[in-house]
Amino acid sequence: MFARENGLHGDPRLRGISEAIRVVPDFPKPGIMFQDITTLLLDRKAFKDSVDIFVDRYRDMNISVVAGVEARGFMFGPPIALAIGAKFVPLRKPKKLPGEVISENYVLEYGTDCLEMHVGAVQPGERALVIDDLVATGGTLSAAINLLERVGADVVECACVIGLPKIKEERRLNGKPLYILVEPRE
Amino acid sequence: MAGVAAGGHLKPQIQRTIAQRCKRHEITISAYAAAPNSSSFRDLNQHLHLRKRDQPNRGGLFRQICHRPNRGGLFRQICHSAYSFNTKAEMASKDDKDQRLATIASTIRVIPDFPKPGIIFQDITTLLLNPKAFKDTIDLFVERYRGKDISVVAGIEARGFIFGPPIALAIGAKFVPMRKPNRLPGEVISEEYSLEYGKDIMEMHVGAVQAGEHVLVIDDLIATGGSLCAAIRLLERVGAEVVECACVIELPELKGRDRLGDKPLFVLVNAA
Repeated sequence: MFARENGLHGDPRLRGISEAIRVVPDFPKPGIMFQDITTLLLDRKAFKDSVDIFVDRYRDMNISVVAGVEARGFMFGPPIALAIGAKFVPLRKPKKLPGEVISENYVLEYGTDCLEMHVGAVQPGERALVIDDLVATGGTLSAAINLLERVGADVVECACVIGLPKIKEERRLNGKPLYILVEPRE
Repeated sequence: MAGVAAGGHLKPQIQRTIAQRCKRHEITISAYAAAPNSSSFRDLNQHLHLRKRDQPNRGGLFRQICHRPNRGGLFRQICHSAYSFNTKAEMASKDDKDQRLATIASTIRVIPDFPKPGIIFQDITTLLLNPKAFKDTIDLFVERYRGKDISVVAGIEARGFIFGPPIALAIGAKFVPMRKPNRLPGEVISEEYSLEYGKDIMEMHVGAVQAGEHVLVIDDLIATGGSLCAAIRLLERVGAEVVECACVIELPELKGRDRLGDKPLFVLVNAA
């Protein structure tokens, strides 16, 4: 599920991407080492490389939908969608999407949250890619998968720039393959 | 409103009449209105409130907008056209640009009474569902800004995050997200700005933008211009130069363009 295990072992682009990510300790709360991709977005080559790696992987997979999770999924999803000729579908927090929506609740460490998608954005049978900047427990991505499957789409893969160790043991999420570029930095 | 096909059940005579009226004004209809309870043109006419607005644009382009209010279960109708008074030599490339603009305008969905009654929401998610329209949108911005020495594209959360990065990648610029409070993890600078009721705060990472850099600010839509002004102030506080603000949609009645002062604004589509 990591890019280096999927034919990109030794690819120098991965190292550049990893080094462009900044670690911010104790954010949003003490004890958490936050993986900050905004510094990746400031590194033109590394940002382009991360998009190119995803595009190369998904270009010939007949994917017609790229679903990006708010808000950092919005930064990676659209360039990929544009390059592979797919639609971009934003998956948003409650009450942000203006039209008719379907909602999926999911569990956080403390409490629950909710992800929404527009009705009619995705048709049954469409092949979909879910994208976010980082996967930790997989709760958000699971909610995204559920939303897409509820409208009859076929989720081909979930793609993230960074994958936390918790997910490493799982390798798959809701039975869907995960594709991750880099591990978190210390 | 549910289940009404756009124009499908209108008597053919009414549909043709609507099209003819607009052709007389050189306006092409991009979305049809449906009037479930109207069977005559006169009924439809009562609900039809055509309002034309001429807004001259740089380069001699005029845009006309037909606008119909939403009463009694009617859908909103938006007509867009851009026709040019330039010379014939320029018409060819203008035609292509006009075609792309027409496509883009036709893919934007209008949702009445969101987020609250009386507000007509311009929904770009339907544009994103049309790969050609989305690509055309990005291309039109990239054609304008490529080679103009812009090193930063600043996108306003959250819909600016959708348009900003593809533009940044294409023109070789950095992408800087301008975010709501407490979202950015590192050291930030903050700018307070006014909303219709109350205030909000916008933040940018310290060190993301250097003094003297040329910046393009992007968002999906400009209404009052409050968010864009906050973004401009943040960037100027670190010594950057905001070259232009770019949006897919402008709501000209709200005069956001004036609020930007000396900062130029470039938009693709006007909506009333």
